[in-house]
Amino acid sequence: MALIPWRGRTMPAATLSSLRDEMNNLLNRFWSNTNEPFGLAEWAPALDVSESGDAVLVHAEIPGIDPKEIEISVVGDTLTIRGEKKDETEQKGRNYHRVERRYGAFTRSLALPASVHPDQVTATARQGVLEIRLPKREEAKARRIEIKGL
Amino acid sequence: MQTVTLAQSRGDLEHLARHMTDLMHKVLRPGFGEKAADWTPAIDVCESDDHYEVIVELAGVRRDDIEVYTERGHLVVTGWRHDPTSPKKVCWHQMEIEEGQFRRRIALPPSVDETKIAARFRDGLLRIRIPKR
Repeated sequence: MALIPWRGRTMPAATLSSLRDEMNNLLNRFWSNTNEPFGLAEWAPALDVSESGDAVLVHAEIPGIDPKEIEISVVGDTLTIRGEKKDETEQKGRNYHRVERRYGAFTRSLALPASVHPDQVTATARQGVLEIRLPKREEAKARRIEIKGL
Repeated sequence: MQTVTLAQSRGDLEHLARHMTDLMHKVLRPGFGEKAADWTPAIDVCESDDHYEVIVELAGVRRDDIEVYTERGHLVVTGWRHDPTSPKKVCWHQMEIEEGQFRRRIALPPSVDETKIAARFRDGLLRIRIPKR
């Protein structure tokens, strides 16, 4: 049997909490692609999520995808982006030497960091980057507080 | 004046010689002076009857920030991607789109006409057409 160092009474609690963290991590990894439970998705676009004073901004990398074929939905505080990158490698008369690009359908959902107006969401695509702008609700906006002095 | 014994100065000279050798190795190594790239775009390479095509995923890169050239039988694609998000942001929540310098270098087959290589950039995809001779 291996020797276990004695760390006083904190030992079992610390071990349990690190075990719990491990299990949480494992479950999070397992369920992270909620719409494709068992990691069936071939790929998903890289996302940047940032926040300005009045909006949440999501940028997605979608090179070569027609933005009209992308579906964006906001339900509650969850944003979902769906689309498909058409597989060019199937075309006849082309012989591939190297295929590093990923193809196929994708779905990506994320929890928004602030509550937004779902009916005021706008999206624009430029040079293969989709920008989704989600205006924040009044209560989620940053409010500047004036500091009064003498 | 400081006196230095012969043994000591020989040690110093050997030390200096080692440094010089290391330095020479560094300078003569292929790729010296090239800054390491920050990220590597994905590429596809395919061949048709009369040409090759190289497709590079460069979403969010401005056309003016891309450079394509041939060098000693290689095709080089290099450039820079700036942060695509708004400069007015107050905080980041997630950062997956890589930014900074990129660089790809691929060997060209001997049967191509290097003078007739053409490139076009649309929707974040760079397509380089390399005609066969």
